[in-house]
Amino acid sequence: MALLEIKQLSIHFGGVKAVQDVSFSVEEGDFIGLIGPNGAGKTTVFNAVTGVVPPTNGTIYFDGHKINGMRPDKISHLGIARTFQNIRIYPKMSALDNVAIGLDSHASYHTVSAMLGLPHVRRRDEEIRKTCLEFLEQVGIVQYKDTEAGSLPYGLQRKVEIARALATRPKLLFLDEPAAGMNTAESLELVSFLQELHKNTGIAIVLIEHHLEVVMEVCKNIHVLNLGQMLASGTPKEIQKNQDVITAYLGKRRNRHDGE
Amino acid sequence: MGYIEGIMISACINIVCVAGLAILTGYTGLFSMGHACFLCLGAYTAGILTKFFGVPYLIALLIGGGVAALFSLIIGIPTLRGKMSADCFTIATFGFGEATRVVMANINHPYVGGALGLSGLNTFTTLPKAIVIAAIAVYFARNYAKSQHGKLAIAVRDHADASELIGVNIFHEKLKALAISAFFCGVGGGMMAHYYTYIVPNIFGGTMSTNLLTAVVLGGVCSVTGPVLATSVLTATPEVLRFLSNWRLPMYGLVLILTMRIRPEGLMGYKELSIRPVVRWFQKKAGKHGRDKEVHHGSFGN
Amino acid sequence: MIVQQLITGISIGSVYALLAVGYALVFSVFNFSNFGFGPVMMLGAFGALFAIEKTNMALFPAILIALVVAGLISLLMEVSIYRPMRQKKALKVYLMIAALGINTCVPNFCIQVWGGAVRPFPSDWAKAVIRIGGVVVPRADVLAAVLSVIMLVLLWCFLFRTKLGLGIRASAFDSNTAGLMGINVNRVAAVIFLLSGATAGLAGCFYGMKYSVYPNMGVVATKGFVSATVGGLGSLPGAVISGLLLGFLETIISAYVSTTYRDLVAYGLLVIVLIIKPNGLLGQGAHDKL
Repeated sequence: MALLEIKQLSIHFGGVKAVQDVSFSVEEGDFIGLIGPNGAGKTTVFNAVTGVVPPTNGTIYFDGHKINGMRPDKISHLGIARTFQNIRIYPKMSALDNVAIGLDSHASYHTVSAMLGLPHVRRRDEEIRKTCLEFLEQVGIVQYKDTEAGSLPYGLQRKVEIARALATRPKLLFLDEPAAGMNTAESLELVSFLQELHKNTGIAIVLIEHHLEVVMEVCKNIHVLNLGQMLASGTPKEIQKNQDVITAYLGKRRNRHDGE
Repeated sequence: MGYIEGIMISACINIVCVAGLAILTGYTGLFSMGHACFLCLGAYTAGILTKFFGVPYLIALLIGGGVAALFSLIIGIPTLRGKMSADCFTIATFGFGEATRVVMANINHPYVGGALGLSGLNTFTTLPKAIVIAAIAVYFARNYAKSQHGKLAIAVRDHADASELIGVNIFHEKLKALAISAFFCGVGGGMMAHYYTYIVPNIFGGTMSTNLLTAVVLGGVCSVTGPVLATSVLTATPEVLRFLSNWRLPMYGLVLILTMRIRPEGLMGYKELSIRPVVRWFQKKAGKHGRDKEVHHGSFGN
Repeated sequence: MIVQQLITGISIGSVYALLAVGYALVFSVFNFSNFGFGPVMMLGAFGALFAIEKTNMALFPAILIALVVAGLISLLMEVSIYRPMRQKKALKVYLMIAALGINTCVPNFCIQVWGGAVRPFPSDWAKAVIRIGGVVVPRADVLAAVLSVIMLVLLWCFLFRTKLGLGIRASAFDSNTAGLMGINVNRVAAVIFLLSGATAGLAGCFYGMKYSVYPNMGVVATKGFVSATVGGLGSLPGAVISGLLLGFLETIISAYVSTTYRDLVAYGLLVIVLIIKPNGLLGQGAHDKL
């Protein structure tokens, strides 16, 4: 069975059908792109899988568990991590502490021992610190470990967010527009970073992105959403030739009556 | 010296409460309008235990704190769940504060004493004890705030939804912060009972809650020592400047507004007062036999 | 007897409903609870009281003065405190703390200036009673019910029949997008605070007529807030319904159970509703847009 199996997913907000009958699956080690015009329902799919919004219909299986309606923190502990379209780091914490939140999201020692400042608390804190450094190393920002995350430049904040997501030790990573606001040079750097990351960790990645050159470059398979429905699926080459996709993208100015 | 001693004991009691409230408001970002009720519960519990059951003072304080923490769950469990707005919590704390007072004033059992309250307690809260307890409370609160638990609290405050998505159980974290703050306030209440030697429900009103909150807000978010310092100053000021004592409440209100308007992170937001730089300075000075006239660069460390 | 209770319930309920609507209006757009309504309500009532005492004014112009005074003070709060904080993108909890500051500062300031004494509302007209059948109804109660309904209807017409009202509803739906669509959010805020202040002032007059006028009377505004929460934060119909519900419950409890616990009804109701329906009777859950 696939790692993530989405079957006939529909999400309605009042009368708005944000997602309609979308099905796809993600295998272990996959690198999948999710593209589509604005308001196509891409982020809504992410939100449903990570537990932010309950699906109206359909089922989502992850790693053998049915996860629709599950609380987001529990889904996260099953092994799904994500980043956000609008960066959500903790601005006043150091980059390292940001990662520490993802690493030890339940605080692995007791409240009372924390107050007493017992030796094993200190040891554990030291362990957390060391592991966090490894994750910062992995995304290449270890030199900013003690910098207040909010004062880092945009691109590095993205990396803090990715490191934090990785620290939750996911089997599946959702990246929501990581190249948003980047210029071509920066997105190219992101491409090689993502490829490297995927090669080294083997984590399955699902990527939402508007920079199509990024998606075409890194993803093995691409799903195209339009107006909440699955328009096409296939390899980057197939997608580039797909007539429906071309119409949806080029014609999107004319028939934009979608929900968001 | 009795007068100054009294102010210092009051300050110590407030320090204990504020150290706990700092974790709730300064770190977790939850704002309570009724924490005086936890002092009330702690005060009654500890008072009854020492007066009628002969329980030792310190144990009575701890049990008082425990009872307050237990009762805090009554507010916390319905109002901190899921996606509920923080406003619900705030108004519920206010209601719980009022309810505690009314209920206490209407329990006419001899242990509680209704509106006349509980009197004839022993003066167990002496200055040395108060200072030691306050110091321990600040130490514990700081340890907690610096630990992973404290970081999770900040995470919940800054981006509750995003934190949940990376695995933080936000309900659990909020409830924990509430119970800890209630525990500290319960202990503070017990100390208060054994300092005044009598307690009536009416002293634990909105004014007391506002006093505590003002200290936390003025002292600064994500800081334990800031609020502790602030409460010491706020406790002493009206005593020293007697002519101001009538204007105490309007001024507290003004302090809240101005702090939020001008410097919402508070005077010492994200900073802790630490003696380390001072110690280092003295060491340096001793090492150079006082030749060095260098001024130490601030006594703030993180 | 029960009719009597019903009428008392409506009159006190309409005070709560007015306050709750004020809360809900501000909450629906700015997503924070303005605890500063207590002082606004109190100052409105004092405005009417002073107008009558100093100039021997008739009751209705005095009520109008209360509306204006309360509306302007509410506007002043917005312009001098909330707006700059909003523009600095202050956390919601900061706005609430500032509001609590107002709630602490203003009444205690007034106590120092005017004294904390309880003053009767100086209107003989309002004290007179009407007899309908065997039921004795104070005129103040009738006035409260009638004027509240008028106020709420006017408010509804404003929100649903005017362009500015549309702007307000759009902002309530999504204030960021509304801002992008060219709706001046600051103007919307000014109107909302003016309106909600005026409703609080009206509530203050009724409360003053029914009980009395004193600097700490604003405490009753917390019940308006409880009503707004029970009704579902930000929902205007919810606020009205639960305000009236709370008024009835309180009257019935104090008549048949005990007056001591009357004030606890509100909080009991709050906790029960929050356990059963966490978003309130007519509220909708909201989440951060990710």
